Amino acid sequence: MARYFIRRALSLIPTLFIVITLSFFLIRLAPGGPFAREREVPEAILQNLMKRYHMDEPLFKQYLRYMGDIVRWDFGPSYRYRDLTVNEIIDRGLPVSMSLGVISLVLAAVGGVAVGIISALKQNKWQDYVAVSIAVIGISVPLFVMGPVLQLIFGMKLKILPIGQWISTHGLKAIILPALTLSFPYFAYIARLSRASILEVLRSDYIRTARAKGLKESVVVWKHVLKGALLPVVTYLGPAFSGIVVGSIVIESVFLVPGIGRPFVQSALNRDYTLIMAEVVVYSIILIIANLVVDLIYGLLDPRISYK
Amino acid sequence: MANKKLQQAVNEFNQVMKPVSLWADAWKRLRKNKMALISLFIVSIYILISLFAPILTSAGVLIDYRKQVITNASLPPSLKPAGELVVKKIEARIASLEQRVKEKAEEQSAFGSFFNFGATDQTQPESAAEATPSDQGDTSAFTFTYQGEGFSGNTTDPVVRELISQKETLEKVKAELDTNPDYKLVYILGTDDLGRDMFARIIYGGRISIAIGIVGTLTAALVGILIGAISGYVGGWLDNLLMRFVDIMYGLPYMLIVIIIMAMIGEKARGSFVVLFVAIALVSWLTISRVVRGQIISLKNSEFVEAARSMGASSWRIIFRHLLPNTLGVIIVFSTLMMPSFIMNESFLSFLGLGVSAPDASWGTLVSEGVRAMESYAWQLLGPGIAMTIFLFCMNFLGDGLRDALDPQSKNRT
Amino acid sequence: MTDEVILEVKDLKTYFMVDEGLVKAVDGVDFQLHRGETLGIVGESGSGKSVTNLSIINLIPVPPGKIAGGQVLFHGKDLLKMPPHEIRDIRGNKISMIFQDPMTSLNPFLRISTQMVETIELHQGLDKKAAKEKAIEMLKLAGIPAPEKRIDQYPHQFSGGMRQRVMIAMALSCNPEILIADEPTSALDVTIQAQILELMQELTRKLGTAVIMITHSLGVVAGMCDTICVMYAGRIVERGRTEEIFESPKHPYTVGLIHSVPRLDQETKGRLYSIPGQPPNVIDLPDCCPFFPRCEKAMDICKKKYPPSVSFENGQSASCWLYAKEAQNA
Repeated sequence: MARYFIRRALSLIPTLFIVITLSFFLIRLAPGGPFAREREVPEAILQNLMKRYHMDEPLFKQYLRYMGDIVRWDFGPSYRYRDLTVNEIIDRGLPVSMSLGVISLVLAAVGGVAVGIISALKQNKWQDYVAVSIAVIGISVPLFVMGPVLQLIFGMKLKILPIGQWISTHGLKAIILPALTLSFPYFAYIARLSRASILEVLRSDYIRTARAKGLKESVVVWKHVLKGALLPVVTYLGPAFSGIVVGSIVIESVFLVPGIGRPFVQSALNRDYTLIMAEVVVYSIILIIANLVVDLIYGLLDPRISYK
Repeated sequence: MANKKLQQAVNEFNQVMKPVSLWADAWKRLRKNKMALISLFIVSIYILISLFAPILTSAGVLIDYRKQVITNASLPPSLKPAGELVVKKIEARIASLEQRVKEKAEEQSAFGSFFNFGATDQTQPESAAEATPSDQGDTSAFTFTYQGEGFSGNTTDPVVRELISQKETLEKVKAELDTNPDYKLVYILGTDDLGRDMFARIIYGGRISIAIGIVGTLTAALVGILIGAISGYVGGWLDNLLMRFVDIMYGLPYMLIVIIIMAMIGEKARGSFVVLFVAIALVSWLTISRVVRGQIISLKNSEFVEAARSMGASSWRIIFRHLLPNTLGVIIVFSTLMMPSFIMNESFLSFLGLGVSAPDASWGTLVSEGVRAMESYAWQLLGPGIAMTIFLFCMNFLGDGLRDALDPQSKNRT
Repeated sequence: MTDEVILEVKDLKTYFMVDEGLVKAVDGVDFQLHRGETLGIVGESGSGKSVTNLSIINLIPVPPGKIAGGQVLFHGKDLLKMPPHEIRDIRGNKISMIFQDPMTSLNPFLRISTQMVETIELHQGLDKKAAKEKAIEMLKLAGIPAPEKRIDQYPHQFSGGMRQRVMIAMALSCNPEILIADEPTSALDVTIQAQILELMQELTRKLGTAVIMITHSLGVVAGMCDTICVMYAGRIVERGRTEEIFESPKHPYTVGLIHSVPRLDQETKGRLYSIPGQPPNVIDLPDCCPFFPRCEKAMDICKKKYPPSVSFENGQSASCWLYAKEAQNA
C-alpha cells in the first residue's frame, strides 16, 4: 500500500510542474513589470534593479534559475516589500492560513455530517426541512456576502465578536467569524451530500438484510449504514479543501487575517513576481498533499479498494 | 374514423392507459414540488425584469442607473421622496456637528480664557444660524452663540465651517423641495455614495450577472457536450487523451490560476466580457464533459443503438438523434446547477476587482462597493447581497427540483 | 414434513400507494406451512410473491407500503400485531430470509465475520469467540473451503455462488424454524444454481427447517418443493402438492405455465408455447378474474367477478369459475 501512495505522489509531480511552469511564464509574459507602477525610476537604477533580480537575463535562463531556487525552497526577495524576503512573508502567513483552513474544514465536515444524519433519519419532518433549507442557503450565499454581513451583525451592531485580525491581537475569539464564514458553504454541501447518501444506503438491499436479521434500528444505522454512506463525503473533502483555499483569499481580506491569502491578489496586480510565484507553489503543494491524504483515508475506509 | 383521436386507449380491463412521455412525467413531478415552482416563478421574474430594464427606464418607471445626483448620495431605502430624506440627513449631520461644537465650547470654557480663539464680539444673533461678520479684514472671524451660552467659534475651525455650510445647504434644499424633480424621486433601496439608485443598479447588475451566467453556461455546456460525446463515442486513444487532459485540469487549482490570469491581463482586456467567459468557462465544461461521456459510454452498447446501427445509421446520426436525447435530462440538470456556480465565480472575480470593470457593475462589484460602506450605510451591502442570494437560492432549488423530476433515481443526487 | 402447522397466513393484504394510484400487490393471500415442509410460491414478476414474504416478517417499507389487512400466525401469534422488539426476536432467529442477489444483500463494507457474528451474538447470547466458532462451523456446512480464513474476508472477495452460500449459512446459523428464500438462485449461473439448491435441500432437511421458496422457475419448484402455491396478480390462484399439480393442473394459468416449459421428450411441432398477453397492471384493477384476457377458457362471468376458491378431494384448490360453476351445477 505504501508503494501505491509513493507512486501516486510521484505522479502528481508533473501536475505541480505544469502549474509552476504555466504560472511562471504567464506572469512574466504579462504586460507591465514589477517596477512599472512606481514613480519614474531613473534608467541607471532601473538597470541595477533588473540586474539584481536577474531580469536582464533571457527568460528561459530565469526560469531555470527559478526552478533551482524552488528546489532549495528559496523564493527570493520580495519585489514589493524591499526589506523582506518572500520566505519570511510565507513563514509568517502560512501557519495562519493553514490553521484557518483546517479549522474550517473540520467544522464543515463534522457539522455537515451531523446535520446530514439528523436530516436523513427524520426525513420529511421539520428537522429535515430546516436542515435542507439551511443547506441550500449555505450554498447560495457567496462567501464575500456572508463574511461582511456577519461582520456587520456580530462585529459592528452587536459587538460581540472581533471583526478582524488574528489570535495574537484578539485572542481565540478572532477565529470564530472567519472560520464560520469559510466553512459554511462546505458545511451545507456536506450536509446535503451525507443526507442523500444515507437515504440511498437506507434503501439498499444489504440494509434490508440487516433488518431481516432482527437487528435494532439504531445498530442498523450506526454499524451498517454510516460506513458506506460517508464514503462520498470523504471523496468530497478534497475539492472542499480546494474551495476553502480559494475562499480564504477573500476571507482573509475581509477579516484582515494575516495569512498568505491576503496578499495574493495584490501581488498579482503588483507584478510582485517572487511573491505570487511563491504563493502558487505553496498553494499547489498544499492542495496536492490534501488530495493525497483524502485518497489515503478513502483507501483505508473502503475495503473494496485494493492497491495491487 | 373521426373518433379515433378522441378515443383513449383502454386495456382489456377497461383501465384507461395514458401515454406517458418522459417530459410529461417530469413536468407532473415538478408541479408537485412547491419550492421548485416558487423558485421557477422568482427566477422568471428576475429574468423578465432584467430583459425589460431598458424599456422600464425609458418609460420612467425605473430610475436611470447611471444617473448621479450628488445631493441624494447615500440615502437609506424608503418609500418617501428623496427630498425629505435629504433634509433628514442634513439635519442629522447638523445635529452631530452642533454636538461637537458644544463639546468643544464646554472644553474651552472649562479652561477659561486660556484658549483665545480670536476676536470675540459678543453680539447675540437672532438665530443660531445667523452669524455676523466682523470687519477685521481677511480674518473673517464669526461670532457664534449656542443656545445662549456665550462662546466663540472661529470659522477657521473646520467643524464650524462645515456646520455653517450644512445649514446653508439645508435652507437651499428646503427651498427647492417642491421644485427640484430630483427631490421627488423615490429610492426604494436607497442610493450609493454617488447618488445612484441602488434598485436600478442592482437590476442592471443582475442583467450582467445573469447574462454572464446564461451565456457562460450555454457555452460551457456546448463545449462539454461536444467533447464528452465525441470522447465517449469514439473511445480509444482520443478518449484517453481527452480524459487525461480533463484529469490534469481537474487537479489544477484553477480558480487560483484564473485569478492570476485576470490579474495579469491589462485593464482594457479585463473589461471585456469575452475574456471573463473564457476564463471561467475554461473550467466549467469539465464536469459536463465527464457526465456526458459517462452517459454515452453506458448507452453506447445498449440495444437500441445496436438496432440503429444494424439499420445503417451513421455515427453522427447515432450520436445526435439517439444518444444525446437520452442524456438531455442529465445535461439540463447539470446546466441549471452550473449557472449559479458560474455567477458565483464571476461575482467572486468582480468582488476582487478582477471581473467586469467600471462603469459596468455586476452583483459582485456592487457587493464589494457595499462592503466599503457597510458600517454606515448597510443597505449598500445588503441590497445587492440579498438580491443575489435570493436568485442563487432559487436557481439551486430549481435545479434540485428539475433533477428530482427528470431523474428521481439518480445516483448523482446531493 | 409433519402435520403441525407452524405458520398460517390468512387473507393477507399489502397495498402500496404510488403516484398513479393504489397498487394492491398482495390482495388476499392464504396458505399454511407445516413443520419441515418446503412450500414453493410460483409466479411471474409483479405477481406479488416477494411482497408476500416481506409482509410475513413485516419488512414492508411503510411510507409507500402498508399491510392493509389479514393475519400472519406464527405458532398462533399474529406477527403483524407484534411490537417491534418482539418481532426483532423472531427475525433472523426463528424466521430467516435470504434474498435474490447476494452481491447487494451483503454489506460490502463489513467483514463476513462481523455480519455473521452479530446475528449469533444477538439471538443466541454467545460471546464473540463462541459466536465466531459457530459461524465458522456454519460456513463449513455450507461448503465454503477454508472457512477459518475466509470468514475474515469481505463480500467482494467471494464469487457469486460462494456469496449465496454465505447468506445461507448466515440465515441458518440460529437454526430457524422457517427459511424464506426469495429467488435465491435467479442471479446465479445455471450450474451454480443446482449446487445451491442441493445445499439448501441438504441443510434444511438436516436441521428440520421449513422453507418457503419463491421462484418463477417451475424447474426449481419441481425439484425442491413439497407443496406449491401459484400466484397471479396478488392472489393465489392454485395450490396443492407438487406431484398433483404437475400431473393435473386445474387453473388455466398453471396449465399455461407448465405448457410453456419446453420439453425434450416431445416432438418439436412448430412454435414454442407461451401464454399470450401480459401480466396485468395491478393499479385499480376492477372486480374480475385478472387472468381472463389471457385465458383460453374465459367465460362471461370471469369478466365480472373474482372466482371463489374451490377445493378438490386430494387437497388441491383453485380459484377458477370453471370449477366453481361445475360445483354450482353439480
